[in-house]
Amino acid sequence: MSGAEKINVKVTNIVKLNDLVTRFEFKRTDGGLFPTFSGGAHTVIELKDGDLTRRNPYSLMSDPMDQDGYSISVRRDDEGRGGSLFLHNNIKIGDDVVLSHPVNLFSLDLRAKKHLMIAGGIGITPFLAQIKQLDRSHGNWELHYSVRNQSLGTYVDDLKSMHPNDVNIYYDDEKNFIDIVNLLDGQPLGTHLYICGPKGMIDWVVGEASNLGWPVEAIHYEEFLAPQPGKPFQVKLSASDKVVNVGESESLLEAIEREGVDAPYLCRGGACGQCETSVIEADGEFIHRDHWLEDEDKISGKKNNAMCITI
Amino acid sequence: MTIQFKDETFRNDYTFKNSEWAIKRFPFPFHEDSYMYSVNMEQHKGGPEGSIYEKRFDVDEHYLGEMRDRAEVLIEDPLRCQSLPHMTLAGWDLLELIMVSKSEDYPDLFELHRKGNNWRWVNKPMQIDDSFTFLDDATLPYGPMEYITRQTQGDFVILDQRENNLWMDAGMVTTQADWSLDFDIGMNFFEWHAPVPKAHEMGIFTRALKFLLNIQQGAPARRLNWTMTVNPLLDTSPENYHKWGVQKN
Repeated sequence: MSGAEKINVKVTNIVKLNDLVTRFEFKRTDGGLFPTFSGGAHTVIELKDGDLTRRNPYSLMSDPMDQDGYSISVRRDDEGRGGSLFLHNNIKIGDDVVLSHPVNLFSLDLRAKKHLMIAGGIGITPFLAQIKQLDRSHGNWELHYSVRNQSLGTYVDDLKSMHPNDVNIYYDDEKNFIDIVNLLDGQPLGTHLYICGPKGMIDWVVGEASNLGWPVEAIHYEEFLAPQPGKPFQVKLSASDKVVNVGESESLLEAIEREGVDAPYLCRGGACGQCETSVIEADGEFIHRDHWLEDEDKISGKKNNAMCITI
Repeated sequence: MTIQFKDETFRNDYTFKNSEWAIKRFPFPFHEDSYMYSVNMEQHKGGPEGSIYEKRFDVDEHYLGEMRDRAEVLIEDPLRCQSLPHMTLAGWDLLELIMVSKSEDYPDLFELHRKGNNWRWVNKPMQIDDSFTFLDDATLPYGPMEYITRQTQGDFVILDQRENNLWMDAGMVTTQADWSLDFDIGMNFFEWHAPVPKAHEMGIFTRALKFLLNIQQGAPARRLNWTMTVNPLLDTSPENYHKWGVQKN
């Protein structure tokens, strides 16, 4: 990973919040303090699944000032590549796992006069940490949180009881949707907008905000992008001459890590550009699913690929 | 080894002098017969015992002299230390970083006692023993960045990361090589580096920015920089150019 050292932790608590979401809590095995972080940061958890090492990023939802423990909440994805399933089905209290130092690609802009938060489903997690951070400094925030229904409303009760005036909940099944145009129109100058949820929701909200003339610097979003499966392929690494076979459900990054290459990464979700690599020559077609490359680079097929979602 | 702190001046009578120990560990920057800038960054993960790279924040025999000089500069010109309103939290972050690092690296000189947010900081060389509430500005005599950098050698700038760029939004700059915090505050990486000759065309700043934007928590980096002056004057600022510029003649 060529970054900071990893943090060895023990799973100290597992709380099933509802049918889909479970919270995992960790303490350091060396008894030391966790690094403080800023709300919106994530950690990459490293799990040994037989021969396979899984690396999955999850937002840290715990209080950024709490150096005694970290928590994440994970939504079970039955259609995915197995990381969240592995966590839900195999990890037990007392297990040893490894966490990365926090990385923040979705931080608050502290110049904002008001932080307007739009969350969809498991996208609530980064906001939980940001809210705790803002409350310490009496920051001005407002949350609009869309969930499927009451039983899948993760943390809805906690949020409503702690912040009855600042939290608004919308239930999809009851045809209760965020009135985004009215919400965005008329926010005070200096409001920053933060969106975290499914891609469709992000695209919709960002689109409406742009139409209303919101400056791009005031719009922040994070998508939990998981690589989608593709056909297996073979890659030759020009620096080391290694030839790597990339399986159907592993990414290029994961495949070369499996072969012992310590490649740089930050988000593992196609958003940050850290694992970008040049393509010297290719046989076949690229379908670009990342957020990093410019459109012209995607079309030319020449420049680079984000290895973490090259599947 | 115990550091013998010197009582010396960096202006007027210039009593500054390096001991044998200080000379031996001085990081002479010229390895070849000619010099050009480079993006000479490396991981800041310790170094040879006794070297300037060993500790996270180095303390040497000039510590007290330098801090006294800083305090004098700030009396004459308080604008050498500025922090835009949104940077106070970052100032606390810096304070925590320095206090934790120095109390661990120099336990004979610095102590940090923490119980929740009730902290007590002891700086023996400067005879400071302050108890305060972490994150509560009212419990410190200065803002957090100013408080801790008045006790730490070297200039500091805290950069806010936004829009894929770095913005100079806070700093304590009293020993600079002829640049002004007051002029640069609020500028981004390319803007404040505009006056550096040749480097822009060499692509130095694009590469340096990319590196800096990807520095991760827990993996600090360092880069040796240097400046030359006629006398051991620390305050070679544009604000005081009328006083020191003439020394170059």
